[in-house]
Amino acid sequence: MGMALDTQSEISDAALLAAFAAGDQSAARALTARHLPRVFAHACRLLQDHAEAEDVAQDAMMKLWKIAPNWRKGEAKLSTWLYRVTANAATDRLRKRRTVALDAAPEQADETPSAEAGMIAGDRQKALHTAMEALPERQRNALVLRHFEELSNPEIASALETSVEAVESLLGRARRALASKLAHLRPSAQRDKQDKGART
Amino acid sequence: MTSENHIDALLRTARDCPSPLPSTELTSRVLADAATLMHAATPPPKPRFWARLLSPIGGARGAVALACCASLGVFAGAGYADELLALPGLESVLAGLVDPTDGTTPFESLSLLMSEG
Repeated sequence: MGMALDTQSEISDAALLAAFAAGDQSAARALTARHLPRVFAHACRLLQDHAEAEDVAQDAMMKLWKIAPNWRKGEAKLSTWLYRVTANAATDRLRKRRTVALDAAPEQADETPSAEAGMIAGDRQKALHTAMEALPERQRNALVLRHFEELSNPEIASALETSVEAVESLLGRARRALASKLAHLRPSAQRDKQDKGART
Repeated sequence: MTSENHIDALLRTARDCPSPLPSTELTSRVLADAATLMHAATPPPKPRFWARLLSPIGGARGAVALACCASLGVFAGAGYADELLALPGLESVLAGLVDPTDGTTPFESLSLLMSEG
């Protein structure tokens, strides 16, 4: 009954869901391998907490298993549906905890040549994450889906159950908010600051 | 550097950082959930049409036995009616089958039907 593992990469999500619903455990493995990394990474980016992201990812996949027998072909793209489920679950968690411990954020790989440069880069990323966390939930969701998951605006609209125009508006506001919050990190702003300090 | 470019650069740098990967424990939990739900959700296979139809007579074996008996009965009745009627002791059995309304036995009715159509 199980499908050959080497051919599963070519099988559509809908076919895998149908196979899973019919009792094929290898379809569950294929779907997990295909979607869990994305779901987990998305949850991590939204929550900035590894343990909570694991819970959210597990919940999202659980919903996938439950909906499998009723999944209709062509209704929605599975990855978009999963992004939506993950974003909703993450939003629920974020509402429960208003304050976020940044220390729990997943560690970023340090690829900068010097320790000082690495620290600066790390600080910038930390500041970016802090600024993103301060964004309203829908703006943050749209921003993460656009710039991290690299979804198109129509895909984001589908994931957030809104219009493309609303997505454009959300992204515009999110970017303006980020620009305002992170203005002090701009190289020109830092140079101005240094110049001012040297003059006084 | 404009603020737009600055934000783009920051987001690009963040995006280029390797994404956190799910642990093997998480993967195992997810697959265990799938297995649990699969066993709970998989309905028992529906009996096929013929299986449902033949179940009152004992399934396919019962149907085959019934068909054999019917064929044998028709064959014997059509080809060897006289020999069957001559079987010793059959008279007393047939006497119990006499239809009181017209006084004919089932075999007589059958003989009449076969001879006169």
